[in-house]
Amino acid sequence: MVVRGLTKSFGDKVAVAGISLDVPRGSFYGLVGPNGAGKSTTIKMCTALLRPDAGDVWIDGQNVWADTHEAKRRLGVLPDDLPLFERLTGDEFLTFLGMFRGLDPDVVASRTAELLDVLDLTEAARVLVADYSTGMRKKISLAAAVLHGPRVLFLDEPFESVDPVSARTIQDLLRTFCSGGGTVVLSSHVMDTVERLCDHVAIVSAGRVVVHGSVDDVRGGRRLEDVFIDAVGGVHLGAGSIGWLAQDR
Amino acid sequence: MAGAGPVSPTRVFVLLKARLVVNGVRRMTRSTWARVGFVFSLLFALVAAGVGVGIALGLRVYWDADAQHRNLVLLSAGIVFGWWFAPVLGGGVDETIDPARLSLLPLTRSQLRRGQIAAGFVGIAPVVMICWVIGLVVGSARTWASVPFVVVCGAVLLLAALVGSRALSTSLARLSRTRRGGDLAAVVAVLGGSAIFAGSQLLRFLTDEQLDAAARVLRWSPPGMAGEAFELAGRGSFVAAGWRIAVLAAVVVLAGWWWSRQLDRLLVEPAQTGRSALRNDGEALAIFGGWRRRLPRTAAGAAAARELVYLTRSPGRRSALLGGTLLGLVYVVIPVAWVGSPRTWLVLVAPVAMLLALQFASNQLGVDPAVFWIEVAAGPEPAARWVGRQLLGCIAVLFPVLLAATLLAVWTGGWIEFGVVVITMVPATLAMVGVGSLLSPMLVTPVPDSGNPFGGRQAMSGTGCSAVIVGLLYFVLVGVLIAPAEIALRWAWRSSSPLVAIAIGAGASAVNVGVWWWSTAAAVRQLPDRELEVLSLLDARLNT
Repeated sequence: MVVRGLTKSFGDKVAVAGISLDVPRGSFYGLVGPNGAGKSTTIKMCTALLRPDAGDVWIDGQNVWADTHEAKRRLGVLPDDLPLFERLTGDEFLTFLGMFRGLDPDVVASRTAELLDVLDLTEAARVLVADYSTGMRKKISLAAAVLHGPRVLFLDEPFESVDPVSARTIQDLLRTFCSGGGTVVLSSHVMDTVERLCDHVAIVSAGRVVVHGSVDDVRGGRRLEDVFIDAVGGVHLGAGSIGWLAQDR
Repeated sequence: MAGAGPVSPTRVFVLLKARLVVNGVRRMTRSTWARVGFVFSLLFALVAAGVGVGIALGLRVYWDADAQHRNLVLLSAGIVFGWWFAPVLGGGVDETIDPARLSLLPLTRSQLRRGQIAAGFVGIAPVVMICWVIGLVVGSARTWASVPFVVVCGAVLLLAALVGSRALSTSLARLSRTRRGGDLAAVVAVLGGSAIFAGSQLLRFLTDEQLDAAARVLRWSPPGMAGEAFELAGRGSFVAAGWRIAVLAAVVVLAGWWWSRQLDRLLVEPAQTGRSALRNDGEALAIFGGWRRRLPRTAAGAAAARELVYLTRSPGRRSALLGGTLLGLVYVVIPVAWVGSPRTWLVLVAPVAMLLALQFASNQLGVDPAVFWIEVAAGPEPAARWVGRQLLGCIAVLFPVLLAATLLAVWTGGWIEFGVVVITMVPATLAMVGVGSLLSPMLVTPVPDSGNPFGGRQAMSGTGCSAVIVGLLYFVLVGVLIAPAEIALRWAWRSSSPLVAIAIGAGASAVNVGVWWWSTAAAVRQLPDRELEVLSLLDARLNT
C-alpha cells in the first residue's frame, strides 16, 4: 500500500496534514499516536470511507479513490465506530455480509462457522448483535472484515475492550493472515501490543508522521513507549497540580 | 440458496429486510409493554389495510363520478406524501437504508439503489400501502383496455412514494451531520409529518367543497396527477392519462438522481462534527452562562440548567418539542372544526394541545436515558434529580397549551376563557409533573434522543405505541382533573361572581400544588429503591 500526501481538514482544524506511508506487502504495520493525532481519519481515507481533501492511496497499484468499488473488494476494515445490523444474530450478520460480497453461500456458511468458532462466538451465534458486549461486537466486526479474504486489513483499535484470551486468538488469526501474504495496518494506543505484533510502525502526531520504519529501527534499542513519548511530547504534572487528588481521605 | 452460486445483491437486500422485520417482531416477547404496543400496531395496520382496500375498491359503488375523481387524487397524494414523511417523523425505521451500515461493502451505485428500492417494499407499513394501491388499481380499471394504464400508474405511484422517501431520508441524514443542518432536518421532518397527520385527522371534518378545493390544488402535484391518471384511464382517455403518468415517472427519475447524489456524498463525508460547530463563546456555553446565570449554584440548579442547555442545543429534544406542539395543535383543531364558528368556550379546549407533549411529564425517566446512568453513578441529592425533569415537563406541557389558548382567544375573543386556562393550567401542570415523577419509575419507556433520521431505535419494537397508550391514559386522568375546575371557574367568572371565581381558582391551585408536593416527595422517597429496575428498563439494548 502506498499513501502520498493525504490531507483532511474539518473546518479550521487540520486532522491529517499530508501523511505519506509505504506499507510493504505481507507486513504488520502499526499506526500509533496520541488521541486526536489523525490515525482513524487516515484509516478512513485509506479505506474509501472518507474522501481526502488531497492525496492518493494505492493498494496493489490500484488507486482507491479512482475505483472505490474495486478497492473495497480488496480491503477488510474494522473501524472503531461502524454501526452494525443490531437486529441480526451473529451468524446472520456474517452470512448477509458474505452474500453482499458475492461469495457462494456454501463458502459463506463454512467460513462463518469457522470464524465464530475461532473467535469463541459459537454460543452467541444465535444471539442478536444488539445484545453483544463491546468485546463481542469487536470480534464479530473482525470476523466480518476477514470473511471475504481481503488482501489488506485495516484495524482501528482491534484489541480495545477484548479480553486477554480473545486478544491472543485475534493475534494468532492476524499472524496467520500475514503469513499468507496479507497486509495488516492497525492503529493502537497499546505500545506493548504494537511492539510484539508489528514489524513496521509509524508514529503520528498532529496529523503528521513523526517517525516511521521497521520497529527495530524506530526503537533503536529502547522501549517503543519511550520513543513514542519522546516523539509526541508527554505532559508532566507540575508540583501542586491537582493536589486535591493526593489529599488524605 | 446452498450451492446456487452468488446471490444477487437485490435479493440479499430483500432477504436482509425480511430478516430484520422478523427478528424485530421476535423481540416483542421480551417486554410486556412492547408486546401490547406491537399487538396494537398490528391491529392498526390490519385495519388501515382493510380500510384502504375497501375505500379504493368501493370508489365506484359509494361515490358519484366527481367524488370518485376527487377521492382518487386525494388518495394518491396521501399515499405518496404519507410515505415520504411518516418514516422521518417516526425516527427512522429501516436499517437497510442506513448508508453507514453499508459503507464497507463493494456495492455499485445501481446495486445499492435497486436493492434499497426492493427492500423498501418489505415490511408491515409497505404492505399496507401496497394494499391501498392495489385497491386503487382494481377500483379504477373499468375496461380491459384501461388495465395496462392503471397497472403502470399504480407501479409508478409506488415507485414515486418509495424513491421520494429514500431521497428525503438520505438528504435529511446528510443535513443532520451539521448542527444547523440537523435543526433544519428536524423542522422539515416535523412540519411535513405534522401536515400529513393533520390532514388525516381533519379529513372527516372537511366538507365536500373543502375536499374539492384540496383536490383542485393537489391534482397539479405529480402524486395528484397519478390520481387523475387513474380516473382518466378508467374513462378511456389514455393520452391524457399517459402524459400524467409520464410526469410522475419523471419525478421518480429526478428523485432517484438526487438520492444517488446524496448517497454518494453521505458514504464518503465526515460524520457529525457537532463539537466544532458550536460557537466558542465561553460565557454562553457554560452551564450557568448567559440567561441561566440567575439559577442557584446547587445540584437542583445544575439539573435545571442542564435541561435548559439541552433544550437549546439538542436537535432531537427541540424536534420532539416542536413535533409535540404541532401535533398537539391538530387535536385542538378537531373540536374547532366540529363546532365551526368562533365560540368563546372553545378556548377551554386548549389543554388538549398537551396530548403529545405529555410523555415529558408521564415518562420523565425515559427522556434522555443516558443521564440516569450518570445520576446513579454520581448520586446527587434525591430531590435534585427530579428538578430538571419536572422543569422540562412543565415547559413541554405549558408551551403548546398556552400557544393554543392564545390562538383560540385571538380568534374567538374569549380572553376571560384564556385567563381561566392560565389560572387552571399552571398549577395543574405542577400536579401533572409531580404525579408523572411518581409514575415514571413504574412506566418508564426509553425515548432515544437522535437527530439522525436513520437513528431511531423504537421502530418495530412497539415501545413507541406503548408510550402513546400510557400517554393517552395519563391524558384522560389529567383531563378529568382539569375540566371541572375550568368549567366551574368560567361559570363563576361569567356569572359576575369574582369572589367565587377567586375562591375556586385558589382552591384548585391549592389542591394542585398539594398534589405536586405530595407526589414529588413520594417520588423522591421511592426512586432509590427502584434505581436498578429503572436502569434495566432504560438499557437501550434490551429495548431495541
